[in-house]
Amino acid sequence: MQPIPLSPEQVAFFQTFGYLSLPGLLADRAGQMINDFEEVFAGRGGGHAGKPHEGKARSCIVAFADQHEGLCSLLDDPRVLGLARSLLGEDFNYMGSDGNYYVGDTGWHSDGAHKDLLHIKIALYLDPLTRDTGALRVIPGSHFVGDKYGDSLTSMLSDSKNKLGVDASEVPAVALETAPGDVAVFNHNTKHAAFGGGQWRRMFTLNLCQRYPDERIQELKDYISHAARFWLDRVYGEKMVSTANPQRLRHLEQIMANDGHLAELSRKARQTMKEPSRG
Amino acid sequence: MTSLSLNPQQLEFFRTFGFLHLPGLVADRIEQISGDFETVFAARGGGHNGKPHEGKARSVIVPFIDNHDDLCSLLDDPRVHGVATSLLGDDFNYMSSDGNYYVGDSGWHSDGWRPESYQLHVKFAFYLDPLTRDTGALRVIPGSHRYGDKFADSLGTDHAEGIAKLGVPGRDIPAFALQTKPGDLAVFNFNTKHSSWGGGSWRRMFTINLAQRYPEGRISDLKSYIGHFANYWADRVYGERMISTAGPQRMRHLEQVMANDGHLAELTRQAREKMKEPARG
Repeated sequence: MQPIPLSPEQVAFFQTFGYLSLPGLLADRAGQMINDFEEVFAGRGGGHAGKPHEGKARSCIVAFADQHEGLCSLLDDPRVLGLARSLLGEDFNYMGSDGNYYVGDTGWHSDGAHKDLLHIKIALYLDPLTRDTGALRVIPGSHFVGDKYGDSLTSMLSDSKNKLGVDASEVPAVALETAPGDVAVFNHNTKHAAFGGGQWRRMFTLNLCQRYPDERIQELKDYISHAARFWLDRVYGEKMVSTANPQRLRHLEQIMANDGHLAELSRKARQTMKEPSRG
Repeated sequence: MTSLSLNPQQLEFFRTFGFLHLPGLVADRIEQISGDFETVFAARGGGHNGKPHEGKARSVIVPFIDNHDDLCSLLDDPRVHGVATSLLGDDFNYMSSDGNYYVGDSGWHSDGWRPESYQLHVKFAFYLDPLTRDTGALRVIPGSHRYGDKFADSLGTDHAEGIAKLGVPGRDIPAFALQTKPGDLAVFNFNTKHSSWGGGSWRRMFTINLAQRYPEGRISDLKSYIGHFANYWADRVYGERMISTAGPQRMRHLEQVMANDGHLAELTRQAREKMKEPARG
């Protein structure tokens, strides 16, 4: 089945505001995704670093979708593929995923500050979430590096009460209230947060980016190095590679060719960290 | 009474997002203010251009607060005056006001589109009916006031043509709704993109527009700005009562415009020849 592209209006909306909400895009797969999510966590002790999730701190598994064939195949889903290609081009890179049990609030932050190469996060929330029960909140237009607005937010949001006179939960933002099967996509640069969520909030992501040009491979390698905090020897899990068809492989090959340094960095990280990072 | 100032956090909020909501700021005057609003409209036929408001199109009176002594005195109110001086400096200019019966939706636009090096213009909006997100409350796009930013520029100039090109219904554009009660004050930068959706046909609101004082080198810009009041068929920017009831403090905020609106009457004469009625906004 051919990839199903986003409409030009959806692409323009994403470029303007730094996010896109796609209600029900994967509704027909929601039940299976939830089962697969639970299966992966159960196979890894139920929570973080092989231990049960106790609802006190975020539990995180990286690489997540890579642990289950059903979740790996999301990368082949014509809706996901079409969305990715519309935003990133036909030669986009899969940049790993994380599966999470979130706990409580997540303060304002962005996942990067990329000036040109676009990195995006596809977020799949597996519980119904509203504005005040942990739904993703985004600040539209906060993704433009170099803008006075986006740059000022970076400094203001770290201490909104003292700098802006409002609690973090009162910062003007849009809440993407989601049901399982909805897809939220945002630019890594976009400021986002969540407030009022419970202790067992299930969510996993697929991270993607534009292919790095050859002259910027060192930047890609540096980016990959950050995965050492998750104690990964390779960016991708074995199942992601072994079940890949030629189409999927196209989105894996640049990373696979450039993550040879990760195992040594992870070895060092294991010596200095008590547990793999929680996010 | 001493003016009340905005605190540093409120100022930073306004600079960052381009708007500020001050709940209940003039709540103790709101009954009188609402009564004065009705009195002014009643004396002018109830709606636009001396005719009754029929709920079909926006009715506007410009200048507005200038038509009633009590409304004029809002400029002297230490709270209003304090917010103004905090944002614009002690020598800010009063730039007239408009009183409105709004009807239905107001699409996305800004009231100006100028670089930050230009004089800051702000609007103080007083909504006289309780409004929610989907019943006509003011919606703003935070950060849209930053002329020169990729984000703000992408939304377009004062006509918001960039927003129109997105192909998204206006009411679905991501924005912040200032859900107001009578007595609240909503303040926004003229550059800030704003709109309202789902409102009724008799929505009462008036504004007080203010700006930083123009330096001598930019008096021609001020005169050009003043020229736009010809669309409202105004011979002078200010109404007679605004001037006749002014104390020294208020007069400081009037004198620069009074000294530079001598060309307006002729422009208005020409506008009366071309327009069927004064502008509705």
